[in-house]
Amino acid sequence: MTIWIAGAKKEYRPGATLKEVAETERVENPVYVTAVVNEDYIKFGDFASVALKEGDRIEFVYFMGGGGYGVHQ
Amino acid sequence: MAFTNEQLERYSRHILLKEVGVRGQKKLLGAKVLIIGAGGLGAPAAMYLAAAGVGTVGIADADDVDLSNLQRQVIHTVNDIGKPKVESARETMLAINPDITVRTYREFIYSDNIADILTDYDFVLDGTDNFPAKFLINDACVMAGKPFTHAGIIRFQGQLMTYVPGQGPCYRCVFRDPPPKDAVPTCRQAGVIGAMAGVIGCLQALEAVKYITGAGELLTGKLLMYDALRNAFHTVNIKQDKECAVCSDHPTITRLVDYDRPDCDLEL
Repeated sequence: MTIWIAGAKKEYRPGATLKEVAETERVENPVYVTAVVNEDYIKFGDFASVALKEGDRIEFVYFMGGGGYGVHQ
Repeated sequence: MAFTNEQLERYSRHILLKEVGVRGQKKLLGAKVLIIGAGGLGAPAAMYLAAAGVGTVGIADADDVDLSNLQRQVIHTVNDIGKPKVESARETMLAINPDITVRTYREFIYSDNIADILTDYDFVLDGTDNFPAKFLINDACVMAGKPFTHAGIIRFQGQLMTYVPGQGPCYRCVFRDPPPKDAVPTCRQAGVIGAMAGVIGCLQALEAVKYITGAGELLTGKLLMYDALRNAFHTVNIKQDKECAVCSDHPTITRLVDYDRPDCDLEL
Protein backbone atom coordinates (compact mmCIF):
# COMPACT_ATOMS: atom_id res chain seq x y z
CA MET A 1 0.00 0.00 0.00
CA THR A 2 1.05 3.60 -0.50
CA ILE A 3 1.26 5.91 2.49
CA TRP A 4 2.72 9.38 2.92
CA ILE A 5 5.34 10.09 5.54
CA ALA A 6 6.27 13.74 6.05
CA GLY A 7 4.88 14.38 2.59
CA ALA A 8 6.98 11.67 0.92
CA LYS A 9 5.38 8.69 -0.84
CA LYS A 10 6.32 5.33 0.71
CA GLU A 11 5.34 1.70 0.06
CA TYR A 12 4.44 -0.59 2.97
CA ARG A 13 2.68 -3.92 3.33
CA PRO A 14 -1.12 -3.56 3.73
CA GLY A 15 -2.01 -3.23 7.41
CA ALA A 16 1.49 -2.24 8.52
CA THR A 17 1.40 -0.79 12.01
CA LEU A 18 2.64 2.59 13.04
CA LYS A 19 5.26 0.85 15.17
CA GLU A 20 6.67 -0.96 12.12
CA VAL A 21 6.74 2.27 10.16
CA ALA A 22 8.47 4.15 12.99
CA GLU A 23 11.11 1.42 13.16
CA THR A 24 11.60 1.24 9.40
CA GLU A 25 11.84 5.01 9.14
CA ARG A 26 14.34 5.00 12.01
CA VAL A 27 12.41 7.54 14.04
CA GLU A 28 14.83 8.75 16.69
CA ASN A 29 13.70 8.27 20.31
CA PRO A 30 10.14 7.32 19.29
CA VAL A 31 9.07 7.31 22.94
CA TYR A 32 9.21 11.11 22.77
CA VAL A 33 7.47 11.47 19.46
CA THR A 34 3.81 12.12 18.74
CA ALA A 35 2.53 10.69 15.48
CA VAL A 36 -0.11 12.57 13.55
CA VAL A 37 -2.06 10.22 11.30
CA ASN A 38 -4.55 12.07 9.13
CA GLU A 39 -4.76 14.76 11.84
CA ASP A 40 -5.31 12.28 14.70
CA TYR A 41 -2.69 12.23 17.46
CA ILE A 42 -1.25 8.83 18.31
CA LYS A 43 0.84 8.36 21.46
CA PHE A 44 3.88 6.14 21.23
CA GLY A 45 2.20 3.61 23.52
CA ASP A 46 -0.49 3.08 20.86
CA PHE A 47 1.83 2.80 17.85
CA ALA A 48 1.65 -1.02 17.78
CA SER A 49 -2.14 -1.06 17.74
CA VAL A 50 -2.60 1.35 14.86
CA ALA A 51 -2.85 -0.44 11.50
CA LEU A 52 -2.32 1.93 8.63
CA LYS A 53 -4.45 2.14 5.51
CA GLU A 54 -3.81 3.00 1.89
CA GLY A 55 -3.31 6.74 1.49
CA ASP A 56 -2.75 7.50 5.19
CA ARG A 57 -0.69 10.60 5.87
CA ILE A 58 1.75 10.22 8.72
CA GLU A 59 3.90 12.78 10.48
CA PHE A 60 6.30 12.18 13.33
CA VAL A 61 6.43 15.29 15.49
CA TYR A 62 9.35 15.72 17.84
CA PHE A 63 9.68 17.63 21.06
CA MET A 64 11.91 20.61 20.37
CA GLY A 65 13.16 23.04 22.98
CA GLY A 66 15.79 25.51 22.01
CA GLY A 67 16.11 29.23 22.27
CA GLY A 68 18.17 30.60 25.08
CA TYR A 69 16.21 30.64 28.28
CA GLY A 70 18.18 29.61 31.32
CA VAL A 71 16.86 26.35 32.65
CA HIS A 72 18.49 25.85 35.98
CA GLN A 73 17.67 27.97 38.96
CA MET B 1 -3.05 59.47 16.10
CA ALA B 2 -1.15 61.06 13.23
CA PHE B 3 2.27 59.84 12.17
CA THR B 4 5.23 62.15 12.55
CA ASN B 5 7.41 62.68 9.48
CA GLU B 6 10.04 60.50 11.08
CA GLN B 7 7.55 57.69 11.63
CA LEU B 8 6.32 57.96 8.03
CA GLU B 9 9.89 57.57 6.84
CA ARG B 10 10.81 54.84 9.31
CA TYR B 11 7.77 52.70 8.56
CA SER B 12 7.41 53.58 4.86
CA ARG B 13 8.17 50.02 3.66
CA HIS B 14 5.42 48.71 5.90
CA ILE B 15 2.96 51.40 4.91
CA LEU B 16 3.49 50.53 1.24
CA LEU B 17 2.22 47.00 1.85
CA LYS B 18 -1.49 46.68 1.24
CA GLU B 19 -1.71 44.11 4.04
CA VAL B 20 -0.27 46.61 6.52
CA GLY B 21 -0.68 50.20 5.33
CA VAL B 22 -1.26 53.15 7.66
CA ARG B 23 -3.90 51.22 9.55
CA GLY B 24 -1.72 48.21 10.18
CA GLN B 25 1.20 50.35 11.24
CA LYS B 26 -1.02 52.15 13.74
CA LYS B 27 -2.10 48.77 15.09
CA LEU B 28 1.56 47.78 15.48
CA LEU B 29 2.34 51.02 17.32
CA GLY B 30 -0.57 50.36 19.66
CA ALA B 31 0.28 46.69 20.25
CA LYS B 32 1.90 45.02 23.24
CA VAL B 33 3.91 41.84 22.71
CA LEU B 34 5.62 39.81 25.43
CA ILE B 35 8.74 37.81 24.57
CA ILE B 36 9.62 35.13 27.12
CA GLY B 37 13.32 34.29 26.79
CA ALA B 38 15.95 36.73 25.50
CA GLY B 39 17.98 33.97 23.85
CA GLY B 40 18.31 32.45 20.40
CA LEU B 41 14.65 32.78 19.42
CA GLY B 42 13.86 35.88 21.43
CA ALA B 43 16.85 37.83 20.09
CA PRO B 44 15.86 38.13 16.42
CA ALA B 45 12.17 38.33 17.31
CA ALA B 46 12.81 41.23 19.68
CA MET B 47 14.93 43.08 17.13
CA TYR B 48 12.37 42.72 14.34
CA LEU B 49 9.43 43.60 16.57
CA ALA B 50 11.30 46.69 17.76
CA ALA B 51 12.16 47.61 14.19
CA ALA B 52 8.54 47.04 13.16
CA GLY B 53 7.39 49.60 15.69
CA VAL B 54 5.47 47.31 18.01
CA GLY B 55 4.62 49.97 20.58
CA THR B 56 5.36 47.99 23.71
CA VAL B 57 7.62 44.97 23.84
CA GLY B 58 8.04 43.10 27.12
CA ILE B 59 11.00 40.79 27.52
CA ALA B 60 11.49 38.28 30.34
CA ASP B 61 14.67 36.39 31.23
CA ALA B 62 16.73 36.07 34.41
CA ASP B 63 20.03 35.13 32.76
CA ASP B 64 23.13 37.17 32.09
CA VAL B 65 24.87 37.28 28.71
CA ASP B 66 27.58 34.65 28.29
CA LEU B 67 30.17 34.20 25.54
CA SER B 68 28.56 30.91 24.44
CA ASN B 69 25.31 32.80 23.73
CA LEU B 70 26.82 34.95 21.00
CA GLN B 71 26.88 32.17 18.38
CA ARG B 72 23.13 32.73 17.90
CA GLN B 73 21.76 35.37 20.28
CA VAL B 74 22.37 38.26 17.92
CA ILE B 75 20.81 40.93 20.12
CA HIS B 76 23.82 40.73 22.47
CA THR B 77 27.46 41.62 21.77
CA VAL B 78 30.80 40.99 23.47
CA ASN B 79 30.35 44.29 25.29
CA ASP B 80 27.26 42.82 26.96
CA ILE B 81 28.89 39.76 28.50
CA GLY B 82 27.96 39.58 32.16
CA LYS B 83 25.06 42.01 31.72
CA PRO B 84 21.46 40.90 32.33
CA LYS B 85 20.09 39.66 29.01
CA VAL B 86 16.96 41.76 29.32
CA GLU B 87 19.07 44.93 29.77
CA SER B 88 21.28 44.09 26.83
CA ALA B 89 18.19 43.31 24.73
CA ARG B 90 16.51 46.56 25.78
CA GLU B 91 19.54 48.62 24.79
CA THR B 92 19.72 47.02 21.33
CA MET B 93 15.99 47.35 20.73
CA LEU B 94 15.98 51.03 21.66
CA ALA B 95 19.10 51.63 19.58
CA ILE B 96 17.18 50.22 16.60
CA ASN B 97 13.98 52.08 17.42
CA PRO B 98 13.66 54.63 20.24
CA ASP B 99 10.02 55.05 19.18
CA ILE B 100 8.94 52.02 21.24
CA THR B 101 8.65 51.17 24.92
CA VAL B 102 10.58 48.16 26.24
CA ARG B 103 9.58 46.61 29.54
CA THR B 104 12.04 44.22 31.12
CA TYR B 105 11.36 41.38 33.54
CA ARG B 106 14.59 40.06 34.97
CA GLU B 107 13.03 36.87 36.22
CA PHE B 108 12.25 33.35 35.14
CA ILE B 109 8.61 32.56 34.65
CA TYR B 110 6.87 30.33 37.14
CA SER B 111 3.32 29.42 37.96
CA ASP B 112 3.20 32.23 40.51
CA ASN B 113 4.36 35.13 38.29
CA ILE B 114 3.45 34.32 34.69
CA ALA B 115 -0.22 35.30 34.90
CA ASP B 116 0.65 38.76 36.23
CA ILE B 117 3.36 39.30 33.62
CA LEU B 118 1.29 38.35 30.59
CA THR B 119 -1.96 40.00 31.61
CA ASP B 120 -1.19 43.32 29.91
CA TYR B 121 -0.07 41.87 26.56
CA ASP B 122 -1.91 41.20 23.30
CA PHE B 123 0.35 38.43 22.06
CA VAL B 124 3.02 36.21 23.63
CA LEU B 125 6.10 34.75 22.01
CA ASP B 126 7.63 31.63 23.56
CA GLY B 127 11.40 31.85 23.12
CA THR B 128 12.22 29.42 25.92
CA ASP B 129 14.42 26.36 25.61
CA ASN B 130 12.86 23.94 28.07
CA PHE B 131 9.65 21.95 28.21
CA PRO B 132 8.48 22.92 31.71
CA ALA B 133 8.54 26.57 30.60
CA LYS B 134 6.85 25.74 27.28
CA PHE B 135 3.99 23.88 28.97
CA LEU B 136 3.66 26.63 31.56
CA ILE B 137 3.43 29.31 28.86
CA ASN B 138 0.87 27.23 26.98
CA ASP B 139 -1.30 26.61 30.00
CA ALA B 140 -1.08 30.21 31.23
CA CYS B 141 -1.98 31.56 27.78
CA VAL B 142 -4.89 29.14 27.39
CA MET B 143 -6.22 30.05 30.84
CA ALA B 144 -5.80 33.78 30.23
CA GLY B 145 -7.17 33.61 26.67
CA LYS B 146 -3.93 34.97 25.19
CA PRO B 147 -2.66 34.05 21.73
CA PHE B 148 0.92 32.88 21.58
CA THR B 149 3.43 31.38 19.20
CA HIS B 150 5.48 28.34 20.17
CA ALA B 151 8.82 27.50 18.61
CA GLY B 152 11.51 24.93 19.15
CA ILE B 153 14.91 24.44 17.56
CA ILE B 154 17.53 21.74 17.70
CA ARG B 155 20.53 20.93 15.53
CA PHE B 156 19.43 21.88 11.96
CA GLN B 157 15.70 21.66 12.66
CA GLY B 158 12.98 23.95 13.88
CA GLN B 159 9.24 23.94 14.50
CA LEU B 160 6.60 26.59 15.01
CA MET B 161 2.87 26.86 15.76
CA THR B 162 0.51 29.58 16.90
CA TYR B 163 -2.31 29.23 19.38
CA VAL B 164 -5.28 31.55 19.12
CA PRO B 165 -8.03 30.98 21.71
CA GLY B 166 -11.03 29.21 20.23
CA GLN B 167 -9.46 28.91 16.79
CA GLY B 168 -7.30 25.81 16.98
CA PRO B 169 -5.20 23.45 19.03
CA CYS B 170 -2.86 24.44 21.83
CA TYR B 171 0.67 23.11 22.37
CA ARG B 172 -0.63 20.52 24.81
CA CYS B 173 -3.09 19.14 22.21
CA VAL B 174 -0.07 18.03 20.21
CA PHE B 175 2.52 17.29 22.90
CA ARG B 176 0.28 16.40 25.90
CA ASP B 177 2.84 16.33 28.75
CA PRO B 178 6.45 17.37 29.19
CA PRO B 179 8.90 14.61 28.35
CA PRO B 180 10.75 13.09 31.31
CA LYS B 181 13.44 15.37 32.72
CA ASP B 182 16.56 15.29 30.53
CA ALA B 183 14.99 12.74 28.15
CA VAL B 184 15.02 15.05 25.15
CA PRO B 185 18.28 16.80 24.36
CA THR B 186 18.32 20.56 24.66
CA CYS B 187 20.43 22.89 22.54
CA ARG B 188 23.21 22.76 25.08
CA GLN B 189 23.40 18.99 24.83
CA ALA B 190 22.59 18.49 21.16
CA GLY B 191 23.76 21.75 19.63
CA VAL B 192 21.93 24.06 17.27
CA ILE B 193 23.06 25.90 14.20
CA GLY B 194 22.96 29.61 15.03
CA ALA B 195 21.03 30.74 11.99
CA MET B 196 18.23 28.30 12.86
CA ALA B 197 17.41 30.53 15.83
CA GLY B 198 17.31 33.45 13.40
CA VAL B 199 15.00 31.71 10.92
CA ILE B 200 12.54 30.44 13.49
CA GLY B 201 12.70 33.51 15.75
CA CYS B 202 11.93 35.70 12.72
CA LEU B 203 8.98 33.45 11.84
CA GLN B 204 7.71 34.00 15.39
CA ALA B 205 8.03 37.77 14.93
CA LEU B 206 6.07 37.43 11.68
CA GLU B 207 3.31 35.51 13.45
CA ALA B 208 3.04 38.39 15.95
CA VAL B 209 2.97 40.98 13.18
CA LYS B 210 0.36 39.00 11.21
CA TYR B 211 -1.78 38.59 14.32
CA ILE B 212 -1.65 42.30 15.11
CA THR B 213 -2.27 43.53 11.55
CA GLY B 214 -4.63 40.74 10.53
CA ALA B 215 -2.51 40.05 7.44
CA GLY B 216 -2.79 36.59 5.90
CA GLU B 217 -3.14 33.35 7.80
CA LEU B 218 -1.51 32.36 11.05
CA LEU B 219 0.03 29.00 11.87
CA THR B 220 -3.11 28.16 13.81
CA GLY B 221 -4.10 24.54 13.32
CA LYS B 222 -0.77 24.04 11.62
CA LEU B 223 2.67 23.00 12.82
CA LEU B 224 5.47 24.25 10.59
CA MET B 225 8.62 22.15 10.56
CA TYR B 226 11.88 23.19 8.94
CA ASP B 227 14.77 20.89 8.15
CA ALA B 228 17.69 23.01 6.99
CA LEU B 229 19.82 20.07 5.84
CA ARG B 230 17.08 18.92 3.47
CA ASN B 231 15.91 22.43 2.53
CA ALA B 232 12.43 21.36 3.55
CA PHE B 233 9.67 23.50 5.00
CA HIS B 234 6.77 21.23 5.82
CA THR B 235 3.40 22.08 7.37
CA VAL B 236 1.30 19.53 9.26
CA ASN B 237 -2.38 20.13 9.90
CA ILE B 238 -3.17 19.75 13.58
CA LYS B 239 -6.53 19.93 15.30
CA GLN B 240 -7.78 20.55 18.79
CA ASP B 241 -7.70 17.44 20.98
CA LYS B 242 -11.23 17.07 22.36
CA GLU B 243 -9.64 15.48 25.43
CA CYS B 244 -6.93 18.14 25.85
CA ALA B 245 -6.14 18.54 29.54
CA VAL B 246 -6.12 22.32 29.33
CA CYS B 247 -7.97 23.72 26.28
CA SER B 248 -10.87 21.27 25.89
CA ASP B 249 -14.37 21.95 27.23
CA HIS B 250 -13.64 19.79 30.26
CA PRO B 251 -10.07 20.57 31.30
CA THR B 252 -8.40 18.51 33.99
CA ILE B 253 -5.66 21.12 34.45
CA THR B 254 -7.26 24.18 35.96
CA ARG B 255 -4.32 25.71 37.80
CA LEU B 256 -0.74 26.30 36.72
CA VAL B 257 1.96 23.84 37.71
CA ASP B 258 5.75 24.04 37.73
CA TYR B 259 7.29 20.92 36.26
CA ASP B 260 10.83 19.98 37.20
CA ARG B 261 13.37 21.74 35.06
CA PRO B 262 16.40 19.89 33.76
CA ASP B 263 19.66 20.26 35.65
CA CYS B 264 22.52 21.41 33.51
CA ASP B 265 25.97 22.47 34.52
CA LEU B 266 26.65 24.39 31.34
CA GLU B 267 25.40 27.86 30.68
CA LEU B 268 23.34 27.95 27.49
